[in-house]
Amino acid sequence: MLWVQRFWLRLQTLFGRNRSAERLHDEIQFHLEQQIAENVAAGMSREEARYAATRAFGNPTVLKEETRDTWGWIWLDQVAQDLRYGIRLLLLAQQSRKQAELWRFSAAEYFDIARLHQSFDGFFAMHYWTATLSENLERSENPERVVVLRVTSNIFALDGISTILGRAFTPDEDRPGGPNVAVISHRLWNKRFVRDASVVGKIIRLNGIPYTIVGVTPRRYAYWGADVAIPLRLDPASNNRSERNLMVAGKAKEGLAVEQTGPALAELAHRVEAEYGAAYPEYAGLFYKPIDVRRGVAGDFRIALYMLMGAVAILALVTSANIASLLLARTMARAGEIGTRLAIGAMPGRLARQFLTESALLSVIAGAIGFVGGACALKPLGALIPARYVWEETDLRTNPTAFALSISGALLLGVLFGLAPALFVLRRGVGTNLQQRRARSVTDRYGGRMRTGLVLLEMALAFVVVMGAGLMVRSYRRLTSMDLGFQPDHVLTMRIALPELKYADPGQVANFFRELLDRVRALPGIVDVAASSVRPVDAAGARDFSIPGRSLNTATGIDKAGYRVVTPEYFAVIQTPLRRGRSFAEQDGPNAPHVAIVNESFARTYFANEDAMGKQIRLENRYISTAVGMEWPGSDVVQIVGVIGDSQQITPFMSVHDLYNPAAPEIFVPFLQHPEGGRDMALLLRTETEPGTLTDPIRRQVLAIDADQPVYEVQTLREMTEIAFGPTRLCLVILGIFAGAALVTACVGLYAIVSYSVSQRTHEIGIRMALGAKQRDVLRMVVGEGIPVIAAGLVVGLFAALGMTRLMSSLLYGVPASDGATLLAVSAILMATATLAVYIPARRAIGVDPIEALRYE
Amino acid sequence: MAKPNDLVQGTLDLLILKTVSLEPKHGWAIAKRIQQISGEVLQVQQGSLYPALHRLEQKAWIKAKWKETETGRQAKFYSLTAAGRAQLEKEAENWSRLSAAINLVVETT
Repeated sequence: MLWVQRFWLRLQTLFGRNRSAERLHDEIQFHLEQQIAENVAAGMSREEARYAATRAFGNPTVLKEETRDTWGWIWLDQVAQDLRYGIRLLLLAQQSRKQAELWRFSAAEYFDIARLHQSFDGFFAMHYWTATLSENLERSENPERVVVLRVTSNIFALDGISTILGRAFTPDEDRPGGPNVAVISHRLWNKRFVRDASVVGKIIRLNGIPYTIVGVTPRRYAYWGADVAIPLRLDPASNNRSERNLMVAGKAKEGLAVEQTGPALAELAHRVEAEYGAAYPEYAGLFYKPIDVRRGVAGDFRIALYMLMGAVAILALVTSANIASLLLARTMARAGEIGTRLAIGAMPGRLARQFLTESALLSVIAGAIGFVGGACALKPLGALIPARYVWEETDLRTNPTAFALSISGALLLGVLFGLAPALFVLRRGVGTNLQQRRARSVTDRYGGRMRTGLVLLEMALAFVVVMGAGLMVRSYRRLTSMDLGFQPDHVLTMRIALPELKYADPGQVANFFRELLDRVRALPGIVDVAASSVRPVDAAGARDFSIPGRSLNTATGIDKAGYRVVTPEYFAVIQTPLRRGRSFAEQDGPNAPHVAIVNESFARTYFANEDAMGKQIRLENRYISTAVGMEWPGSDVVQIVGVIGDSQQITPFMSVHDLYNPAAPEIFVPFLQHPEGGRDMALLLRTETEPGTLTDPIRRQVLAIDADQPVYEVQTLREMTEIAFGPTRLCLVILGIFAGAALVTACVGLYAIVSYSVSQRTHEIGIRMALGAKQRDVLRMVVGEGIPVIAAGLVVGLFAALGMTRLMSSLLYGVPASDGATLLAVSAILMATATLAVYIPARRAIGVDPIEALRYE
Repeated sequence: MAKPNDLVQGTLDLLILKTVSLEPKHGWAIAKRIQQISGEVLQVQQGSLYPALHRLEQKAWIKAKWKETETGRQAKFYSLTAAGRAQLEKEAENWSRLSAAINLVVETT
């Protein structure tokens, strides 16, 4: 068997990884030395010979990496690495009496924190940016959107990363006025540069600005989601405390849990407040909150995974109990036969071997069937996992390891539960076994109690899983029927970012989008089209504002609200209801009076006891878009002309619990009056049918206007909203399958014991009927035997479920974990199926012919 | 965007299997041998041999053993396994069929 051999080879490489790596080094070293020796013999100098040999060989680091990739189970190594990477990295948030949780810090605030050495190995600051990457300026060939991480140079040291090609950037390059250097991700290197080892030194352009590639990160390093990192170049002398646009993460000292970093952070916050509190009133009550990065990323999904593992364990338990109960019944039925065989001199060992062979065969067959079933279900189930939780190189498939695991798991359970009753029967001696043969009408007390106990356990466990599934169904229905405040079906979205160099003037940007909207609107199948700075589902950008003639309840009198720059059709396309006033129109051009629309939450928050219509808002000169951090020189007074309904914000990695939060205040302004919407706009199209097919025609329209212009993030609005529901849906489907399987298994178990008891009591039933018992009495007697077991199982299950479902409450929306209606429904379903499982064998009992039954012995 | 000197992967596998089929060889000797017999036409970047060697080893087509060379140094010698021999025959046959077909196309058109 070739795969056995391969399996063995992989085991060897797995357990001898370090040695294998050393040997690979030796092997390559040997090669190089041979080549050098040959070159020297051909007359080269030692130095020349070494150089020529290396050139003929290629980059040893890259080749070593490629070679290691061919070794089996490299992923185990990588999982271990991932655990190391993710470990102890804490993202900081600052909070004070004046500020709710704030992710971002200013440069001076970062330097305050970076001085903290107690409890932390260090801190790094970063800032995201999306840019168009191209390789040369004149003809931007294959431009693509990339996520750029502007970051302090110490990220590499703190993340424990060394580059596989070239080098990381140095603290010297991370100073104001430093050179433009970039470290690209393994993914970008692989995808765009086809693993070209000479990529170091190449120049790439980000939004037209040249950067020299100095290094490539190793594979499977998530790189904080970035494709390219460039130095942040903070000025250590900065005393800026109000421009908060940096994210700060720290690495806790080894062995410290998240909570243990609390005291050091609290002390620092206290110092900062004492020092700067007078000049910056917002620091009153300042504190820093550390957030475990792993927890933040995996979020709800982690709980979903634990829950699924729990469901697997429960199903395995139910099945094992069933196997035990069935094999116990079988062995007991053969007690007489065993007794006879022992009496005429069979060796107990030989008999045990027979039992073992039987249950082993049974389990191998069952394991194989299970494996085939699993292999078939893998693809559809894998598709349920939300894409952002799956590493892009992950390959979901069955392999010999999975096969070996399924078979050995089944074998272990089968042998364990098959052998136990056999040993029990063998050990109780010849006499008892032979006796049982004669005393058939008396139910075997020990075996019976044991089986009843097992079935009770099965019922209770099934209850827990079915309850979990029931809660997920209710929660999912709440989620999908929730009013989002807009209509996400049949809306296609995509983003278009115009390069700054080509579209320097806001007028050009406006013309581009006007022409694009006109062209797209004329396409067949399009109902309407709009452009906006941020899509409805995405978090809005934030804009500072004040209200003339009134002091807002903040230290500076300025507050922040969500901010979206939209074209007039926006509200019609996403179908957000207009509550008061009017929508934007073509007449709201650059020279017309400047207007705004606010959402109900804004009106409620800032104009609580008055009418928001006609009121003025002063937009201040600070604007942070989620795509690009942006300064907008100049302020603007706008008049509120309409109020629209609130809509739900759904962001990646949000928890379903965030859906309870009330909508944030938001301001909408017309695109023509506010070029600060920027060059990076989203297109929103309402379509007549499923929007998927329209992507290409629209892309063609974009290219017709500008042949170099890429579109990116093509998604339907429905897909974007589904992001929040992914973990819920995955749990729903898998728990549903497990619940069905657990229910059926438990009922099979129940059916089996009742059936068995009926067959054992055929003689007794025959006598009863011969003595005049009615069919109804027999039915009641047999069913009555099962009912207490079911009832007890339900009661135990109910309490177990109440304890277990609490653990999944963070995945539930709109349903309490101890939801009464679900409990009732689950009890009813279990009761009904279980009664059916009892009733079927009971029907058989009343079909017994008394004469036959009495003769039956 | 293939690099110019890159051999098609399957071809490299075939060349390696063929080269080690006669006697156990270490990586450098395999590289030399491939260059020699192909009359320096096939310029394999020497290093790209190693990922291929390890892949074939994981597939159990070749096996490796650390032995001393004539100069007394330890080197890793690769030799063909039974499964490898079968694979070699299969690939060699594929290759001759493919090259015959290409010849046919090139010469008739």
